[in-house]
Amino acid sequence: MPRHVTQRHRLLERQLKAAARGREDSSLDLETLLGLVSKAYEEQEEAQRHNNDSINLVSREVTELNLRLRKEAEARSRDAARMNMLLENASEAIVSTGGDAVIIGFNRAAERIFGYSADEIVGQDVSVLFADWDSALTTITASLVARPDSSVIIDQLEIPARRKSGEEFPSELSVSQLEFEGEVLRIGFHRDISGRKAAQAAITAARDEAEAANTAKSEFLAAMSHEIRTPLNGVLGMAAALEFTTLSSEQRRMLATINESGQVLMTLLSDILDLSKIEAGKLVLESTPFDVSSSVQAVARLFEETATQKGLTYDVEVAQAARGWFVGDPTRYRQVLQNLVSNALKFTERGSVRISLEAEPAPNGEMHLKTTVTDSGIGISQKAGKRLFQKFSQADASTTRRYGGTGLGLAISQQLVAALGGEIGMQSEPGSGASFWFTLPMARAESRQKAEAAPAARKIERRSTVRILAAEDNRTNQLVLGALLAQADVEVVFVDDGAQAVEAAGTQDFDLILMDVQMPVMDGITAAGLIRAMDGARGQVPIVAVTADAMPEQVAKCLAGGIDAHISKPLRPEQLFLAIDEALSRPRGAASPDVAPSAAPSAAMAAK
Amino acid sequence: MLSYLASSGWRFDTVPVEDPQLVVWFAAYGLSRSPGVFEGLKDRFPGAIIAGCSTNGEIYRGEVMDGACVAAAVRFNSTKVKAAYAVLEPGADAKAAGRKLASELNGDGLKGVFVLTDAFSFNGADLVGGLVESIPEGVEVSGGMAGDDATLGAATLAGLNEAPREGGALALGFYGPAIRISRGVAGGWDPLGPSRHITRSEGAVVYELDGEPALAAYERLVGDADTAARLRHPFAFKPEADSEQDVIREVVGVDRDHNGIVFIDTVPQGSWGQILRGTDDHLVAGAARAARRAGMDKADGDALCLMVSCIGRKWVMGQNIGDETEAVQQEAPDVATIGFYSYGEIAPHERTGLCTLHHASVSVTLLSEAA
Repeated sequence: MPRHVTQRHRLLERQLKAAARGREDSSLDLETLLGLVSKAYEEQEEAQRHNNDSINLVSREVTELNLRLRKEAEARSRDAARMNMLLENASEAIVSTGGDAVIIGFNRAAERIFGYSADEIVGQDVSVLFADWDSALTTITASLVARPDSSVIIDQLEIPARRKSGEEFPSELSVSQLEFEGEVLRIGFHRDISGRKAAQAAITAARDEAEAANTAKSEFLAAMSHEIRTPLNGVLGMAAALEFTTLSSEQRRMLATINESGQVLMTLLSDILDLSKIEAGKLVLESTPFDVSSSVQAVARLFEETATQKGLTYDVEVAQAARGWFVGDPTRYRQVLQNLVSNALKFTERGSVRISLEAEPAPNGEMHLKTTVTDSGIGISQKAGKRLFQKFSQADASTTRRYGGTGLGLAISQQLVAALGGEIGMQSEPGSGASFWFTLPMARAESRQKAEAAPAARKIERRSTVRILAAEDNRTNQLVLGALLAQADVEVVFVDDGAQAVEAAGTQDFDLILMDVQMPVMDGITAAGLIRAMDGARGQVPIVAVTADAMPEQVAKCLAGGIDAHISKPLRPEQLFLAIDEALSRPRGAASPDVAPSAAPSAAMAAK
Repeated sequence: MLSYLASSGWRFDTVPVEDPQLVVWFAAYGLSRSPGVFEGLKDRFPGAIIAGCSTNGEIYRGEVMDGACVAAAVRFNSTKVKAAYAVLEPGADAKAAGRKLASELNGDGLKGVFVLTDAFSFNGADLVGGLVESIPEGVEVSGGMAGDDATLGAATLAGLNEAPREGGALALGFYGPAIRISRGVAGGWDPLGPSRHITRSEGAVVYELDGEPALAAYERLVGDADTAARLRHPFAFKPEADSEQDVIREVVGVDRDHNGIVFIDTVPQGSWGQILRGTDDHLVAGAARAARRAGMDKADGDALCLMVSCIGRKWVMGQNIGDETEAVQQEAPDVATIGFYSYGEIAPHERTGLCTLHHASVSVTLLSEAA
């Protein structure tokens, strides 16, 4: 190959070599050479074009990418700014720390609540925000929650915190723990709950105040009850006593008016007291075995005289299934029944009043006792009947004028029945009588309970003349009681207080003690307790409380104090005689006013 | 070392080797099919294993020749050479064929395998996979897939002891303690644009790049995806965006109806693809790197260098392609080097060490024998 050729550019050299390849004489194939050179130019141009294309494409991509990145960066920075704004303006104090408990973020609410500016607090230990860091740490450690689905490690923990001023305040703290690029971040949400605590305290105080006021009201009512009943007792007692004296027919009419007015006043007083008790939520229900049919009989007897006077057919019907002992509240049962019977008699001028007692098994093994009082009185429309169970409501205004009454009786009955889990209702048509009924669910008393009651039976030794000790401090009441008891074949010894009663009961034999509760020197309940503590027969004497303290809890207190029965002033002769009779015939130990046998009053205590 | 030109026939340029064990030869497509060319070799070396394939350019001592044949006749002192050969029907199970070739070569003292196969009649990646999984661990495989006359669609041929033919696949095994075989592979391509996320692919077809129809995204960068563009712009695939375990794959076809780009083997969805471009300097440097990885810079004059380089590189470099063969030769000017331009280079991965099929790369296999 010619020497000058080898010193050329390597491509040209290659081209020359190719043009000479295969030629024996080392000459050049000029056509091949020119073809290769020409092709090299083309290749060069194409390579240049490709390079330019590549540069343009890459440049375009870079531009697009740059634009996209810038937009994304702007969006991110907008997001960050927005998030920051949200955090800054959140109503809760947000304090963020690293894993070392050093504060790294402190929003505006935190500045407001704690009194530090973010600038001065960031970098400090989070412990400065707590009233007592050691105990806070203990509380926090004990309250750590681990939820696999949540970053929350402290959930609404009440903890004392401290403001920059040093003032402590109750704070509710929630903490979330997160990990960001391997670093632990804790976000604490503090809520100043001073306001809430103050409100709670105010509510508590208000409630206490209201309860105190209610207690005061109850006490006032109890006092009023006593204060009104005592003189009323005097009036009615004396009126009752007057009935046993010789009177002209005009005087007897006047006396009847006194009696009726007094009774109305008494009922009104009882109803108002009852209703206020119920409304104050102070209704205490009993659950004790009692013979429901006996209670029906007892109530029936109370109104027997009224029915007889009105010339009504008055009877009681007790279904076989309803006989026997049931567990319930005898006092309330009797109260409701009394109310219904009293209404029936009030609104029935002729015809009949019938009390019936039925029992049906309920699905839960209890019995449904249905007591129905049916009369042939004036009746009432179904619509007006509904109104009857509302407070202070009677069928119409004229009823009040004509028949009297407070209109509270049925409302009280309805509330009592509801409290006992039963229902009350009526069926009537104007002019064709009414049928008022109530049902109560009651379990049949176990035969064992009846058996317990039986062995305590002990016949009271009866003398030909019954001796009664009456403890009563009020002279008027002594007079009334004496006048009433004088109608029966009894010997009454009066004492003025509990202490005298104890002394008399310890030294003499009595068949019965009538015990006033509120007395000077020693009250009746204390006296009854001391008498019950005596040995032998003298400690077993039946004691009947006679008191104006008609509140249920006072009655319960009496019964708990060893007193056998209770009658309230003002005394009504039939009530007094019935209670005395029941107390005398009842075996000791069956301490219920309703366990009287359904037999007729004993001969010994029959009222004249 | 021999070369063959139509005008002059086979000629030694060194002292002829007596009774060589092995003759490796690479022939321009037209010459490879010509019975006279093969017969010329066979007549000259009747006792030798004669292994060859068609090419898209013949490498001979640092030069690239077109329309010629090159050959190397080899005689080892103690090393044994064994050959296995299969001719596959179109669509045959290439993996099974690879396993079968391996089973024929497996034996005591197998140190290395060199493979020459047809590139189009079956899936070359599968054949290499089957071969690699069936030879003992530690025995490395290199070689290449035959080339054609760059009209694409023409056949690629390989043959053992016969003229190269379609479906041919041959493997040479080297045995004994004395043989030293080293290999290197490198690309030297530059990225064109950012890495793209393979957001949708099925098997060997990629349908979405970064959520965009794949073909549209590709053509936006490389222009019309004709043969030239596809050879100029292969992909480098990586399991992760920042992974170094890349493998270069040429685009072997497009699915215009579905905007798909077709590759030779599976492209996992969720992996990353980088479109590449070539510049002369970097491709040349890549070739030199492959030679150095094979230890060529430390090789002595008795070594034989088998260089397999990709047709795509010729498309990029044009007549400057001689620069890369020269660069390889310059690493060891005395080492006899022959080779060819191929449709696939087989070598251990430069980072993973796993023997696999590469595209658009230079694979250098250096054979020598210890004294």
